[in-house]
Amino acid sequence: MNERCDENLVAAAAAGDRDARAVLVRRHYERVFIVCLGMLGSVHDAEDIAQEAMLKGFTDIRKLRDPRRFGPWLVKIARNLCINLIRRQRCGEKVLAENAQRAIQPQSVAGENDRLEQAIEKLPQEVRLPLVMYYLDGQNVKTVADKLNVSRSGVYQKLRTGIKQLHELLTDQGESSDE
Amino acid sequence: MNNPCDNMHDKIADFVLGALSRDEIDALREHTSKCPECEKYLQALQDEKQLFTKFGQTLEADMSARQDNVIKALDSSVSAEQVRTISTWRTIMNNRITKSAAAAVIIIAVLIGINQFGGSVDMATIAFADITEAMEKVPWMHISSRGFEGKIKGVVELWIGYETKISAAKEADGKASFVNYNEHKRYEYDPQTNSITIHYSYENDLPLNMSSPTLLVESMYKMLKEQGAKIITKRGEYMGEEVQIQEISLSSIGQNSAGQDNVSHFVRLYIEPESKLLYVAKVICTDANGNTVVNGEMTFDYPPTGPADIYDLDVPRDALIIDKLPNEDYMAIREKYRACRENVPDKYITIITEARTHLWTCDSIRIFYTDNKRYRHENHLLRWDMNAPQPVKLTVDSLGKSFEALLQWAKQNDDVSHSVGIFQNDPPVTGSLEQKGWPYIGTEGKVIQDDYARENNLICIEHLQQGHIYEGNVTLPGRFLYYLDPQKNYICRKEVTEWRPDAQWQEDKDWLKAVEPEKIREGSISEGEITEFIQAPNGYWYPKIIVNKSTRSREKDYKNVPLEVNVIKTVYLQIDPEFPDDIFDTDKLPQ
Repeated sequence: MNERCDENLVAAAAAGDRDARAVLVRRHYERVFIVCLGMLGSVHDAEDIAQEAMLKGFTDIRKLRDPRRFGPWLVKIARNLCINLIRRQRCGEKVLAENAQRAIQPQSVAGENDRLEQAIEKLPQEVRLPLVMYYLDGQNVKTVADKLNVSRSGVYQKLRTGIKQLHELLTDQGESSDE
Repeated sequence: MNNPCDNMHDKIADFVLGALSRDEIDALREHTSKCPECEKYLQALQDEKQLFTKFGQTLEADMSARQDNVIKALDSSVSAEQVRTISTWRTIMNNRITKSAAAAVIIIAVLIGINQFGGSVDMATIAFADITEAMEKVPWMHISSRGFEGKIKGVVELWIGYETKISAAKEADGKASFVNYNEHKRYEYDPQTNSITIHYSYENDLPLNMSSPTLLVESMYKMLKEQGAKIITKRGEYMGEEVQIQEISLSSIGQNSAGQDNVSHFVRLYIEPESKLLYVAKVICTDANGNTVVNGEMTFDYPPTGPADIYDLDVPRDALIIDKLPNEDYMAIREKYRACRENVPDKYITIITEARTHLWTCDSIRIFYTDNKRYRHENHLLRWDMNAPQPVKLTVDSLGKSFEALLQWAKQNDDVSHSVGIFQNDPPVTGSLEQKGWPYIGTEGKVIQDDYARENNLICIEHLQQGHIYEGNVTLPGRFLYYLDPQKNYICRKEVTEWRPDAQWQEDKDWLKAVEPEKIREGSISEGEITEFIQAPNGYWYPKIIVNKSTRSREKDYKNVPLEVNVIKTVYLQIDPEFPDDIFDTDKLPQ
């Protein structure tokens, strides 16, 4: 049976048990990826940073004081890595300009999902993260509230703002009003 | 463009989020039936919700492939046992817990304990002292502890067989473990279920530095000295016998549970003067207020023999045996596979282009340099070409199809997003050759036959995983297939990952009964197949083109949905290259 709790799995992974490590990856990767996507807005960046976060987490696994907190700890690592990347990107005017350009790709060039990803990327981070978590992680407000440590009403407010802004970005209204 | 009534924006958004009551929904419906703009706005938000959900499903379909990549990257990042041993030791030494709890003595217990119960560090026991050459010759060491109850739970008795390469432990709650490192077998007894589970053990030898007690002691003393411990050696008595006493005291290191400094640790080791063997260790820890927080004692003896099996640890003979050992056929193949996997060249450069079929993901080029000690990994993302009359997605195909052309492009082109990492001694993050051709396969697999294996003369390895629920999230049962080609140095020609809600191999048939139906996802399949190979001058086969496919979204009928290509990877390999100057120089990394 694989009903091993995180505590045991973390301990086993720290001792080199590869199967335990694989179970932990299967168990926690998706949430880490979703948080990265929510913070960065780009699938490719999210893939890279989520992988980096997982590798860092397992490299430093013995520093984890409470193995039961492995999941939240990984998410924390991922968030820090995302912040670093955002800072680095902010330093590079080129990247910013490029992102802005990408976000206004003509519809004829970009596909439906492409437009959506670009719109997601343009959303302010404070609404993007809850929105991505909500839609990609079970559409459960309580889960999002718990993970972000905000009230349910706070999450609703952000989601409400998020879907309205997303609509603006996906229609002509977004192009003229943004930035 | 929609222009709904000003006061309806939030209402409609809340409706889409499912946050309205029945009455509010009725009121909204009544309004939208009369107001075309609001109706249009509602429809648009609903469509966008659908779009987002579809986007999520597409991402999710690729999730297992992403997880596989992480597992492979992790696998390559923990290669040499020696590296792991040293880093574990260093980590434990630097860990605040080990500084603050029962100090040095406990560290050793932790080191031993790590391999006893799969790495749990919440256990106590044992100490060493000035262990001499005599220690190297002892066949068995047996340690029992008392006085740590309520402070540090765990092992109360421990045996280490140096010649037999066996370790055995009993815990206070009746759990027991027995590890035979020669046979790669670990037995774990759980009194609650009265069962013994037999696992494969990866380690070839006693864990960490335990195979040589002297090494361990030297490391411990070094650490103690570095931390400013005072060590006094004197003569004394214990239970009427003359002994050598070593008193180790450390203060002002670490923190107690309240976060205060000035915790004192006092360890007194009693050593038999002739044999120089340690036979008692007393550990006293006091907090900042002088209160004793740990007062424990460990006794050591050196019997000529130790436990022969787990039943010698008071485990009942009628305990149920749960055999988790891989079968022998599988292990023999896995050994050959592992040997091939480890036989990748020491010095090489790979360039892997990743052409992604989804419009919303960029193509990329990964370049990996290694001389087996140093590693450089570059990831070049190809964004959109904004200088073209009509913006177009840059593709790897447009950059040339030779190793030299791609390398040259990567050197010159700084208009793309790229990241570079250099690793000294630590194994690589991603991009290594072995990951591409020889993904990690676990120990709990078996050899099966299917049409694909038969038609292509391949060996098929099947690994099954139980579904589970964790914090309300459901992970479906997984089936992982690896098709190995014995004619081509056991390269893994194809990997298939399937997540199946109705898996026959799920042991607990009622595992989803208490789960809300919307939390249960549909199944999915993803696969990576090497469609072309390169035979290098060393005679070895390596992957040339790898095609990754998956079911696009999780659908009820996922087994009958044709797989769609997500990524086509092309591998360019140069063995024993001349590395460009400064390629591994961290000071020369791009800013």
